[in-house]
Amino acid sequence: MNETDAAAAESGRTRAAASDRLLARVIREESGRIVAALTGWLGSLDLAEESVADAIEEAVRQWRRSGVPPNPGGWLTQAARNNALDRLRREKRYREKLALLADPTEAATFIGTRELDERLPLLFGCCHPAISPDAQLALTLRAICGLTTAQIARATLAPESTVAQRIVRAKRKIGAAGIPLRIPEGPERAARLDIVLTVVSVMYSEAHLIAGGDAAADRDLADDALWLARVVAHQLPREAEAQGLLSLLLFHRAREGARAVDGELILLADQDRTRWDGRLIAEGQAVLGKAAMLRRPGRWQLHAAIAACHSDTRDGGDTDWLQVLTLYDMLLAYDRSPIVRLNRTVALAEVDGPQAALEEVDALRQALTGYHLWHAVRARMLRHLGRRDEAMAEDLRALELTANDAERRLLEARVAR
Amino acid sequence: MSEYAILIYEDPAFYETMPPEGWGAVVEAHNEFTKGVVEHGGSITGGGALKPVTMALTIRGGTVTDGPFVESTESFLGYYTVEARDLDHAIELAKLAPATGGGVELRPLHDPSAGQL
Amino acid sequence: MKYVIMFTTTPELDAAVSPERLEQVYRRTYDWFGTNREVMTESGAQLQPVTTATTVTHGGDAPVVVDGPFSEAKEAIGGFQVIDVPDLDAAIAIVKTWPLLELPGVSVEIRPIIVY
Repeated sequence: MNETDAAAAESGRTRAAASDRLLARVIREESGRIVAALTGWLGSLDLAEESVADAIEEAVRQWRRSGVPPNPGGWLTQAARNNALDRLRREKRYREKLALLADPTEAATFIGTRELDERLPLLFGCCHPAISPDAQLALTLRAICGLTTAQIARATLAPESTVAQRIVRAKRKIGAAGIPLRIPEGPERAARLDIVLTVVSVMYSEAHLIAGGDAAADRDLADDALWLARVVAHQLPREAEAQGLLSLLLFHRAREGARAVDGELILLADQDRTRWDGRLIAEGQAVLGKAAMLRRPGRWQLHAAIAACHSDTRDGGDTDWLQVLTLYDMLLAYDRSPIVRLNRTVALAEVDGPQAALEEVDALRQALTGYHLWHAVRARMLRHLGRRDEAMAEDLRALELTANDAERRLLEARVAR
Repeated sequence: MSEYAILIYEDPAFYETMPPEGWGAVVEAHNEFTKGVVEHGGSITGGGALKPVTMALTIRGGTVTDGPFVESTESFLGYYTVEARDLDHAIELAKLAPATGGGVELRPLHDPSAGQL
Repeated sequence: MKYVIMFTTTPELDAAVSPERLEQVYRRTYDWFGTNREVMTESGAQLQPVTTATTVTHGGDAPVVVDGPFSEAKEAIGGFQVIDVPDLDAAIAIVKTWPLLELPGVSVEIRPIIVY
């Protein structure tokens, strides 16, 4: 290879990388909208979603070669629409349906002219309780965020064939069982919103739990979750809990730079707070303030308020632990899950001492004995009580149970000390 | 409107240990349900109450055996078919169905006249 | 006397049957309903596959909605039909001619219906 070739190849790689980044943004911004619009047009989420997924694959191939077109969203919409028509043509029995759809003027009225953001009804449909939680997450990642099945499989630690099957089943069920794609009104609304917010929060936390990955891996999924939390909060400004989740993710995101340094996890107390993103913290506080004005408390706002307490401090030493513990006690009224109770013990240890906290940790033994962080927290309490050998044994158990490289190295460092 | 089946699963012990006068309350609960479906904008297209599983027999590959096909604590004791706008509406109706100590399963009915898209 | 005949299938075994054979058996089943028209009541339902099932059970404060059938058994109810025949033997005789019984994992449960 001579120098000119090398330069050309290098420029090709740079162009491919640049279009990958742009493509990722375009896909996230557009895919949910196109899936929603096509579903309205075709009357089938299954068909709409497959057509958009194919269009994304074509775009990756073509844009890397010849660059991103001037109107990438329009390009994707047109490609997805053509794919849908091709799929319909292959199915003889849909000929009548096709005749109805192929009218280009009709297509134009369905795509691109709607003012309302149709992604929200689609998102609420994907998070219907009649769809299993695993499938809610997988379908949301694909239909709303435009992730490929392979990306979802990596992010959720599931085999690709399992993810593919979950998505197909969920899409077919939406069609066959008559699951409406809409934001429910009345008493169902709060319960459904909570599922949506749970899916977004799981999406965020999955990004940190890649088995074999290090702490900096898959930042994109966390970014996607923050983006989706913004979309939901922006579209539903009167829903306090939607603001609460956005605020929580903003605080988490703000600390990301300090949480993972060179692929190593650093505990909250040891983080270099100058690495926290002040702009995101300020935004998190503003969003939480806006949520509080709606006067509809809930678990996501309380989680965010706890995160805000940590973000208020200059170093680990001036945390207002009494305030944190009070917020956890309020949170228990909404969420008595063992994980929340375990997290509360950390604040309890600071206020009432390690012995009281250890008793509460031990009360959770049965529920959390297979969970590595239960052992890690128990080790911490034992160490504070001077029971070093027992603490070491718990750290080793936590080490055995954790699948994440960065968390494992953090625990290894502690055992070595 | 789509048609859904509401399959009612209950603990048969509840009925076995119930005094005879208890049946009045059961019939009343089902009458309430029938009225409730209409008040919630649906309609009932069919239904049936099944005798206890001890009365069941199963045929498999030409062989007749005593007892229900699936043994479990809760058994399939009755069903309704209802018309509803969509799954959310069907769930609203299903929540009204009496299913003491058990639950209900909702299944869309197969509509041979509609092509699946 | 009225009986419900309940068709139970095993979805994982259904998958092993070829589409052609399925179509052929389903066509004969359709004919079977015609042949036995006089004993069929208006009550019955052919259910969509078990993958479309949703279950509503009683939770603590409010009913809980989840994906999937009520029973965790391998077998699933595929449909049911209320028939009106003189006695159980007549019911068994009709059910034995039901074409879907040729497929693996398919069973029929017969249970008398409560008449108030």
